[in-house]
Amino acid sequence: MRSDAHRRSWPFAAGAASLMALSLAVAASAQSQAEKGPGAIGDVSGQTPAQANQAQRAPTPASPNITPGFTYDWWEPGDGQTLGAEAAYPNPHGQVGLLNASGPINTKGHAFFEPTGTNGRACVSCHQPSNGMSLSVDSVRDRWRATGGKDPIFAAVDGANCPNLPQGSAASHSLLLNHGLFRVFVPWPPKNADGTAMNPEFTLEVVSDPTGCNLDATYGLKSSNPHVSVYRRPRVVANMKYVVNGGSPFNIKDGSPMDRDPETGRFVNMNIMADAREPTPKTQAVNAHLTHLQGKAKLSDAQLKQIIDFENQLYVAQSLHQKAGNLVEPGGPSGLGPKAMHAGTPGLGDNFETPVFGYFDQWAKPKAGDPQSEFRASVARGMEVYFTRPFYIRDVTHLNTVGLGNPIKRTCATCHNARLTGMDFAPGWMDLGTGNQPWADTLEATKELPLFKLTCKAGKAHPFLGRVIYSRDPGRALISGRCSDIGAITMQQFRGLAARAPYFSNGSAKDLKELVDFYDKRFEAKYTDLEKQDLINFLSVL
Amino acid sequence: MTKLKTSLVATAIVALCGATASAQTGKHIAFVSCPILRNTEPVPCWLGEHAGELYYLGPQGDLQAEFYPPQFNHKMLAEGIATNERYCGGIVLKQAKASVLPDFDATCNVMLPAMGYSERKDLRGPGPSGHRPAPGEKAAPEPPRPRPPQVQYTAPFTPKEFVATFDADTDRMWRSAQGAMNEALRYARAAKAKQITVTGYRAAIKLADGKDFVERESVAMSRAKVIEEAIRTQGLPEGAKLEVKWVTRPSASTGTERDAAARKVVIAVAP
Ligand code: HEC
Ligand code: HEC
Repeated sequence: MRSDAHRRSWPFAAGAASLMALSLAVAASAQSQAEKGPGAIGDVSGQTPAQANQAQRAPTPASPNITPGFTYDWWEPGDGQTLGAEAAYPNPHGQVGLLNASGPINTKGHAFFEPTGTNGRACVSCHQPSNGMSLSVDSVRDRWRATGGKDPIFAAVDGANCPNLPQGSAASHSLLLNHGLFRVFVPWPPKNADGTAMNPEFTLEVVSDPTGCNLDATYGLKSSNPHVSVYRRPRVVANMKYVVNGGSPFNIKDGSPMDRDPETGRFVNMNIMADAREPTPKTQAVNAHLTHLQGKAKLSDAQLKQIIDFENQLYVAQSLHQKAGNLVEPGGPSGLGPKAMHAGTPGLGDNFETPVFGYFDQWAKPKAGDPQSEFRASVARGMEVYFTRPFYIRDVTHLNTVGLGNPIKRTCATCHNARLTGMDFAPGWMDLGTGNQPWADTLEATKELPLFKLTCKAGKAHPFLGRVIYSRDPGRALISGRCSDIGAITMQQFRGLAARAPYFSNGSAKDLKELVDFYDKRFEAKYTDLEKQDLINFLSVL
Repeated sequence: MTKLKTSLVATAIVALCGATASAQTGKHIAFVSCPILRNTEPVPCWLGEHAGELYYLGPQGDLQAEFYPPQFNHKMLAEGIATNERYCGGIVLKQAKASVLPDFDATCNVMLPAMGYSERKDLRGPGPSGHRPAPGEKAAPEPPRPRPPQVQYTAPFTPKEFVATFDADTDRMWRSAQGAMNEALRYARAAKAKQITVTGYRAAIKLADGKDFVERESVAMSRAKVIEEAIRTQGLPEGAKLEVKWVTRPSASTGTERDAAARKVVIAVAP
């Protein structure tokens, strides 16, 4: 641990100058693009300066019975080891495999692995190789026990329910310890790409604030730098060629203009972060360093390049399963393991020619009495349930509103349609119900989250919830200011699920069973117990 | 007693109307109702109800389909040309359109059982459905249709108008409106246009009950602005000036396809 004293001091002598430089860069390129609406200019998104400002205010780091269910390997920031070209790490279901397509990574001095900010964290702190490049709640609990709560992941800025809470106590970190959630603070009202304030279509009130952060005088909505706090899971940083690819001028879901890569001017596909607030991995990295790492100044171009190059060559997927055995043996299903991710081509997988995760025919016929082959057959059936078992999808904005009708009779793969990741090939934010009432309430864990009341201005509404919406995480609407985006969360890839419970952006499904049960209720799918177990088994080998 | 009688009379009238509807084959019809879904296989079909008669609008499809289905929890404005065919339990409307009306309406929630009806099997849906084709068998949904080749715009360039049409009471740009806007921009680039004029309109639609459905006043402006934003998003062609205006007076209703065509933005390109 570094000395708390200097990190706690108000760091804006240097910081303010560099943040000012940020806004100058913004102003200089502003005229080249008529940028009203969210997005980024230069390599800085509209919300970044405000967020960086709040991050600089939060103190930097300093038990009840928190027992991890499984002990994962832990990668310390700055430990300087080499990450092999191929690596495998144990998880409760088997092993997750990593492939560095460009060869072994020397992490010494590497911007993804070194604590480049002021709080001792690196990117790798929350994007751990053993956790499928995300972070499981078991790892969080393990770190709490191993370090007495002093691991930098618990940094007050977003590793606590609110930075103003006493940092030594587990209660102050309950959302991270219970559900693997970090505080994501975004400016309110939302920022346009050029950093000016937007005029949102709705007003936002805090109905209940269990963490105290939304009403806090320094960090809350009424502070001098007003921010909303929501709580979200880290997301997988790997397989990026699938996650970030292409882009078109208009969002096929609602006809709205898409963000551009501020450097190339090309349209992006808007599929990273729960709310797609960062147009590119580069603007994301700029932001992550200034917020999660409490960096004082922007990362250098060389550091940013190092991060992006690393992300772009890294592939992750489960490679071994306790019950299914070796997932990557020759002649096995084509869509499993990190090498399949490296070899594959992004595209639409919602068809019989190129199904999302390939076929599992090799595993379809069980040998009676052979548990491994029976488990494999269950996985093969699970893929068919995911792919072809229809139910009525209802009242989901950006799915039922896109011209397909409400409801539509389709399958999991209708939404999770992109090759090898199960993301949405189009911008993937939808109001599935994980954040908005009434459905969020069916997920017990969401009751620990803040509750907002959003009231749409005259003539504006959420298509299926009307003008007054209660939400635990308004998602994309906190960035776009649109009523139709309230509660819409971008879906993330299905890879390495076994290594990174809990699930959903707000961590509300503690395991795959809770996740499948949520869908069963939400869409009245009426899955049989066998179908549910097959789906769970299928998801656990990805 | 009297009540019972009236409802009997009503039923009789309904039956008559049914007869008239089929007699009025080829007639354009527009009505506001809740959408109704019939739970057919492999995909559901969509119906609307007017004066006691069911009308077939179209099947669930994908985004390349001509027909975009309506939404539960919203009323729709259904429009189309009545035929003497029946499908899925309703009179088939040709060129059917279902505009989703903005207001939330929880009463629009009716799902009918299949009752022996089924939908076409060759439709391509969003995502797979039905069974996986056996080896050698063709996949049931047809593959996506190839895009028609683009028109090449060549000199001499003359002033040209492109028309983007909209569903009732909305500025939502669907595929066809986007297409019109894209063509206007391609033409403007080819012609090195000096001026692009965007004009938004709103319409009145003559309903089957004789009343007018008048689009809200703000929609003429918001349509024009949506097209403006779209043009600016793609990049205004170099050297072109963009003028944006709107006509707040609604078009006069006609009770024909012209009512739907009047929900529009005209993009005039002047070389
Ligand atoms: C304190 C934990 C933490 C640290 C440290 C951290 N992240 Fe993250 N990361 C998150 C969270 C939480 C999200 C999801 C945020 C959201 O959805 O709003 C995320 C999302 C991402 C994503 C989006 C992935 C996707 O598919 O949506 C990328 C890329 C990423 N982080 C890269 C980085 C980089 C690069 C760094 C270092 C500069 C970094 N992260 C440091 C917690 C962290
Ligand atoms: C209407 C579209 C839709 C359908 C249908 C759908 N999902 Fe999802 N799914 C989403 C969205 C949106 C999210 C992100 C929600 C969130 O994080 O809050 C998501 C998240 C997930 C995740 C979480 C991934 C993670 O890393 O946390 C899994 C796993 C998943 N879905 C599996 C399924 C399965 C299995 C089915 C079929 C039973 C299914 N989904 C059906 C839209 C859909």
